[in-house]
Amino acid sequence: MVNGLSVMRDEETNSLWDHVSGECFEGPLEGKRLEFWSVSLTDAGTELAAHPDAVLLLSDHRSFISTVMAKIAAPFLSFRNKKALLFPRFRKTMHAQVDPRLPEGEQGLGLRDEQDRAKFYPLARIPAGGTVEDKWLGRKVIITRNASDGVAHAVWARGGEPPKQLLTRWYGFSFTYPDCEIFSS
Amino acid sequence: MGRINRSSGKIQQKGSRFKPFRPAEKHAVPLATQNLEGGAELLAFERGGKRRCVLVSQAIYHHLIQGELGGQPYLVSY
Repeated sequence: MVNGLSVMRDEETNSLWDHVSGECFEGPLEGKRLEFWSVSLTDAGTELAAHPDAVLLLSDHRSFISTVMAKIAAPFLSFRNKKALLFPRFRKTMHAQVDPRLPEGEQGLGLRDEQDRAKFYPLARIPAGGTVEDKWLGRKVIITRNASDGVAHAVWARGGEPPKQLLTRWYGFSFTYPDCEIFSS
Repeated sequence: MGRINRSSGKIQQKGSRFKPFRPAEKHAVPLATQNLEGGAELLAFERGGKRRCVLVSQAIYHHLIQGELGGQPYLVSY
């Protein structure tokens, strides 16, 4: 864990990888980068409405820790919670105070490009069921927030392709992209 | 824009008590049959033209979901 964020370790080289950026930051593969695909955070109702034949990958792993995390921790870790669940042991891994420009647990949509240029769109500044337009990197981007699950998605106005994006809390995004811009409505 | 700054971050521990989830065919079930509450949170992803989802309540334990979909490898992190 670094900066309150889990890191990944690969079994072949023991290299450590940033799970937000996909960058290897320690070990034989340092400097390498995983290809990045966006993953959508949603809920079952929204997913089934859009994809009635949706397929769920259901883990059959059972252990004391997994049960505690699913039954007790999960509600606190929900993206709908306004505050981040940051245990003291998480904070001990932080190299600095969280960037004070926003509350540490602020949930938002983070956009990034291959040069690590990044911009954070706080969900609170995007109306549920609404759309905002912005200009980033010289291009118009459209952010839409779904009314049913409350999740925001971005697409480039020209072409409709999605920029690389992730729904995340401010502390994690700002530690990963410390000079990021912040959208102001 | 500076590079990602992790230089003075602190590694708390190496190793993990969490097991990655490596889905097999037996783990793929229709979402509609699971009787989940509508608000049950999911991570949804697509590879090779196919879409799959996992429960956030399971992802917070596994942290990593790794497999192959549509002939392409994937690694979902949470």
